[in-house]
Amino acid sequence: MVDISIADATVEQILANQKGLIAIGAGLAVGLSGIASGIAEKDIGAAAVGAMAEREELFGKGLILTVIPETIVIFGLVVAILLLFL
Amino acid sequence: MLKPKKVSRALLLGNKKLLDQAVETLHDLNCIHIVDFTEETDFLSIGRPADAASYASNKLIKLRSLSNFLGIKPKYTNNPLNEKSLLNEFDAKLDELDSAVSKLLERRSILENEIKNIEIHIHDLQPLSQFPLNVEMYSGYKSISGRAGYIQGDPVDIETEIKNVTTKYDISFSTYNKTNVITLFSPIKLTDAINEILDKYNFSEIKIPELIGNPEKMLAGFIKRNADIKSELESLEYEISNLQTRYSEFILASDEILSITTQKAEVPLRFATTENTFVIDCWIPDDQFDNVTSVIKDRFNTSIFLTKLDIEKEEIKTEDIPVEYDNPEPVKPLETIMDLYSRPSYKEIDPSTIIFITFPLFYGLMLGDIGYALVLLTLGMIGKAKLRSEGLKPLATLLIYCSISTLIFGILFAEIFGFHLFGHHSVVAELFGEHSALGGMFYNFHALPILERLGKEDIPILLIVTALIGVLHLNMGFLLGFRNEVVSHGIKVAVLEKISWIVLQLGIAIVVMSALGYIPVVGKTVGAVVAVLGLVMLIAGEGGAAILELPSILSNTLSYTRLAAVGLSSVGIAYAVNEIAVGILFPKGGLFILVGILVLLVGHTVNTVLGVVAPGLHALRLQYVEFFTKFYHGGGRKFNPFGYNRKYTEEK
Repeated sequence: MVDISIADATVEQILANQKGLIAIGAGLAVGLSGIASGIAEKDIGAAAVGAMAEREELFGKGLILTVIPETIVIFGLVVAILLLFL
Repeated sequence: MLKPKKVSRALLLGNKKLLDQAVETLHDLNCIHIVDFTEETDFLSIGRPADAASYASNKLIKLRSLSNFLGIKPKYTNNPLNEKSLLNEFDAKLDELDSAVSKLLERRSILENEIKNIEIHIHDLQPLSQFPLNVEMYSGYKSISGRAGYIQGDPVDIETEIKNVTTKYDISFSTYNKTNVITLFSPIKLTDAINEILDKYNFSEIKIPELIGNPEKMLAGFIKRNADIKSELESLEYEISNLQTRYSEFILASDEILSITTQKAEVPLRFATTENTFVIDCWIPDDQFDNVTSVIKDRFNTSIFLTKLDIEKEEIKTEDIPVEYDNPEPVKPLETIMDLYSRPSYKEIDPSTIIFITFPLFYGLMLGDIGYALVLLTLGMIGKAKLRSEGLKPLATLLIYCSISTLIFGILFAEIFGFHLFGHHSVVAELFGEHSALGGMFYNFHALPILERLGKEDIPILLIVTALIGVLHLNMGFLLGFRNEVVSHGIKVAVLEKISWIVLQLGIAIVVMSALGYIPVVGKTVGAVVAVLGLVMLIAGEGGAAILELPSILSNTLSYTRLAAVGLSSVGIAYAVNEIAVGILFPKGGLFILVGILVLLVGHTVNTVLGVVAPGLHALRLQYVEFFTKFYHGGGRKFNPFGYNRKYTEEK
C-alpha cells in the first residue's frame, strides 16, 4: 500500500492531484448536465413526435421545443471548458 | 427582401358564358391566389364544377389505381411529352394498359388461389404419403371408421391396448417429421372405447383431403405444380416490371394532364356565382397586376371586369393575406428554414435575408475546419447536382453556404481535420519535413490562426467573443421587434416593449464596465439608474410578469457560448482521434499503422456526421429560440397561385 500524506508529497504530486480533481470536476459538469438535458428532453421529444404524427408541419416547433433543454448541457460544457483551460 | 411580396385584393366579374375561358386564362397566368367563397346568400351561390370534372376524375382514379399497382414513382424527366399528341392516344393507350394489367391481375389472383390450395393439400398429404393406402379409402364405410393422425408414445402399446378391446382392427404406423403417425381402421360401434385409448396417446387427427388416388403420387404432382406456379408468378412479375418501364412516362404525363383538367374543372366551386355572372375573389402580387390587367383586357376586352380593392378600407385581417417570399435567388434556400418554423405574416419583417448571413456564420464558427469544410462542400455539390426533390435541393445549397463559411473560419483558425495547419506543429511540416520548401513555408507562417482552438490560451477570448456575438444578435432581434411593433401596435408600445430591453442591457453594461474599472466609479450609479429606467419601461410595456423574463437576457446571451463550446467538442473529438492514431499507434509500426489509418477514417467520418448535425441544429436553435422570440410571430398563409408547374408534359 502506498501511503502519501500531504506533508511528504512533493510539489509535483500535489499539482498532479489538483489536475486530476479538476478533470473529475469537468467530467462531472458535462456528465451530470448531460443527464439532466437527457431527462428533460425525453419527455418533450416524445410529445413532439406524437404531435408530428398528427400534424407533420409541427416539425419545426417540435424541434425547437426539444432542443430548449440542450442549453443545460451546453452550460455544463462551458463550465468544463472554463475549468480545464482557465 | 426583408418584406414579403406586396399583394392586392382584386375582384373579377364576368358573364358565366365566359367562365371557362376566364379559368383557362387565370390558369395560364399562374399568379393569382383564389379566396374560397363559402358564405352563400340569397343572391350569391357557389359555382358548379365544369362537365369535364367527373370524366377527368374518373379517368384519374383509374389511372392512379393502375399506377399504384405498377408501383410508379415520380421521377425527373428531360423530355416532357406533348400534351396534344398524348391526349389523342390517351383513351386507346389507357384501355390497352388497363386490359393488360387486368389480365395480369386476374391470372395472378387465380394462380395465388391455386397455390394456396395446393399448399394445404401438400401439408395434408405429406404424413399420409407414408402409407400406401389410397386417400379415398379412408372413408365411406358403413361399419368401419378409418382415421389417420399423430400420436405421442409407442404405437405398439396402442395396438396392445386395442387388442384388449377388439380383434377386428387394422393399424399401421410410420414416422413423419420425427413424430409417430398411425392409420387405424376399427368398427364404428367401438369408436368411444377406441377414442379413450387414443386420447391417452394425445392422438391428433389429420384431416383427410377429399381427393382420389395414391397420396405419394399426388404429392409429387402437387409439388411439381407448385414449382410451376411459382415460376409463372415470377414471369408475371417480370411482365409487370416491363409494363412499368413501358408505361411509366405515359402514366406520369397523363396524371399531370388529368390533374390540370380536374383543377380547372373544379375551380368554380371556389367562386361566387349569380344566375348569369361569376365573381372571383383573389389576391394578385402587385408586380404582376399590370400584366394580369393587360392579359384580361387583350382576351376579353371589357366583358370581364377586374377591380382592385383597398385593403385598409375592407378591414381584412392580416393573417388572411397570403404571403409570398420576395427574396433574391441566393436567399431562397433559407425560405425552407423559415417555413420549418412558420411563414412570416404579411406585415412582418421576413428574416430570411438575415439568417442567410447569420446561419452559415454560426455554423462556420462552430465547425471551423478546412478538412471538414471541403468534405461538406463536396457533399453539398453532389447533393445539388443529383437531388431533384423540391424539399431536399435547398438543403444541399444550404450545406454549400455553410461549408464555405466553415472553410473561411477553418483558415482563420488554421485547422485541418483537427491538426494545426501553420506554425511549429504544422501537419504539412510534419509530413514534408520542416526544412523542405513546402513544409518550411507552413512551419514559418505565424499570422494565422487568429484564434487558436487547439491550445488553451485563446479559449477564454473565444468564449467572450461568442457571448458578444450573442449580444449583437439579440439586440438586432429587439430592433426588428421594435419595427414590427411600430407597424402593428404603434410606436409607444414598441418603445416600451422592445427598446426597454436595450436600455436595460445598456445600464447593466455601464455598471459592469465601471466595476471592472474601465470608466469612473460614478458609472455604477448612472448604470443602475439606466437599468432601472429600462426595467420600469419594460413593466409598463409588458406588465409585472416581465420581471420573470429578466433572467432570460443572461441565459440567452450565455446560450451563444455554445458557438465556442460545440466547436471545441468537435475539435476535441478530432484531436483525440489524431492523438490515438498519430501519437500512439503510428510509432509502433507494422500492423498498428493499418489500425491507425482505420481509426483516422472511422473517427473523422463519425466527426463529419456529428459536424453536420450538431452545428446545424445549434445554429438553427440560436435563430429559432434566441433570435426569433425577440420579434417574430409568423403564421402567414402560403400564397398558393392557381396554376400548375408542369414536369412531364408541355402544351405545344
